[in-house]
Amino acid sequence: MNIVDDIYMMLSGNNYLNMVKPCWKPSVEGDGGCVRKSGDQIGRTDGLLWYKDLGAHVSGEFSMAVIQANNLLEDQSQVESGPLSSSSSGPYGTFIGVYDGHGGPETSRFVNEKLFANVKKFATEDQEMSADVIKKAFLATEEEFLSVVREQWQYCPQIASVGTCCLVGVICNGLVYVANAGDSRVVLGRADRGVRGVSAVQLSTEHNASYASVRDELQSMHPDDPKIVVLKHNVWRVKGLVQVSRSIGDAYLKKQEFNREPLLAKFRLSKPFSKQILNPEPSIFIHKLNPKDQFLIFASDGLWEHLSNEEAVDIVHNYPRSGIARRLVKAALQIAAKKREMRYSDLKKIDRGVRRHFHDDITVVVMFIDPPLPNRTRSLVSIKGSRGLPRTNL
Amino acid sequence: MKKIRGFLVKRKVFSLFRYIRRKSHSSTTTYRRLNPSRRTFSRFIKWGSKLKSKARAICSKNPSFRSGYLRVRDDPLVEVPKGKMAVYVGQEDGDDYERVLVPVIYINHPLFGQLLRKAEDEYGHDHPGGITIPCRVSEFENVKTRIAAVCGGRKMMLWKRGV
Repeated sequence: MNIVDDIYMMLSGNNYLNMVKPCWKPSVEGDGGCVRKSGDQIGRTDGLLWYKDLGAHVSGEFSMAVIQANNLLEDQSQVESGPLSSSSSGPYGTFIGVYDGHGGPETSRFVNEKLFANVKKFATEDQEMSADVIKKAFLATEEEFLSVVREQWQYCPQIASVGTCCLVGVICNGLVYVANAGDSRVVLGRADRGVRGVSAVQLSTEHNASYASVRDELQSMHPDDPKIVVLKHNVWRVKGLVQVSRSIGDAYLKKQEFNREPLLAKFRLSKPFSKQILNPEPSIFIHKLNPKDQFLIFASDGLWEHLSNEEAVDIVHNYPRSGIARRLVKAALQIAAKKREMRYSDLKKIDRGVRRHFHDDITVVVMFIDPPLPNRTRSLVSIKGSRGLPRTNL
Repeated sequence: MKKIRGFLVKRKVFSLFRYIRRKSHSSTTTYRRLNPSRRTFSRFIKWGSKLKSKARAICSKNPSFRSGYLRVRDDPLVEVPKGKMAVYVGQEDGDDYERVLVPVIYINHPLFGQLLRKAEDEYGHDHPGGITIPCRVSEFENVKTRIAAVCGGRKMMLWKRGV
């Protein structure tokens, strides 16, 4: 009996050790803890999840998270905080980009590399930030990508069928510029005296053919084409091919020169066209920041197909800042699992690629807008979402 | 046919015995639990209430008290067991349409991937509700048994290696 007793004590002693171990390990991943480590600067990965729980930008704090569903991640994102032009006297602020690619990862990766540089270039020329600067940057990036398609067309014609939605926010001089081409969305959380304590204001206009207004706009642009939008599998698609009416890339729907072989037949249109079918020009909205404005949620449509604006704003309002983007992603995945009649814990076991049947790639960036403090150091940030997630085919 | 119904009390009795023994030898243990009595007591109270409900289920004549989990088939909204997911097989408006519970790990199998590709061609990615696979139930069962054979075999190998 004594031996049994000894073994029992040993085992329980060991358990005890395991229990206390986390106490002397530095807590880095905890929701409340905020330990700055050099490796933390570029975010962390956990399986198909990439996250940056909390960082500081020029006018407050931010949180980012990305979950991969496609075999190759099609969502890209970035936060750039600091000077928005090449000269020191130019505009100063924060740039946020969420790029939701379709057909492949090439365009969104390209835009993630080039768009901010173009914004900086035009802001330097104009010596200020404006809607015009952002619009010119979009169009310049589109032209650059189309020339890449022209270069690679011979040996990789598939690149003509790849495109990306672009959502850009620029916080500068008490204004928020929101430029959107595609169906990503930005929602503002504003303090409210009501029961919920915060209300949701959508700042972006979406260009998805599921909206009647978008279909009407397409129809009026192409009056002689009755089949400009087609209902397929209960989803409205432009020419039966893409759901969005504005994008960067998608060269095969922009220029007739790419609407031919060697591009795959399923991407070719039967009739030649003279006018571009998809538009790269963003809808731009300028919002003047108010002291009641607390945070902005930028996210690709993968989040919004599971969460409403109000639900997302409530989550951000009711939980701690650190890791809030990750919490939003988790909330969306829990709903996705429920829709597919399974548990959230089991959804996590599903491999990338197959995951696309359960949810889309999801990118979330939450920007908190804090009142300016005199002693706050101007934080320079340049971070790209998804660094460290698998980038090669399975 | 009459089935024998009942439950095991062995484990609980053993832990009760251990608890009493630990109490009497408390001076010999190396550490003290933070709040020993409350945790153990709540466990036994929980056990007691479980005993009560199980006993009632066995003794009562009302079928709804017994084996509640059998109702899953009637009500698809009842939560799916851990490790499984619901898949709909067949054409939604056809008579050969069935809801099947599949182990989640099967979904990653390439054979299942082929079925999913069929579903994608038919409904796209954004199909509302559960995953629907447009094929005959017999074909689906066939794929399921083939995957089960592979998964089962692998488990056996691992088990053998482990021993």
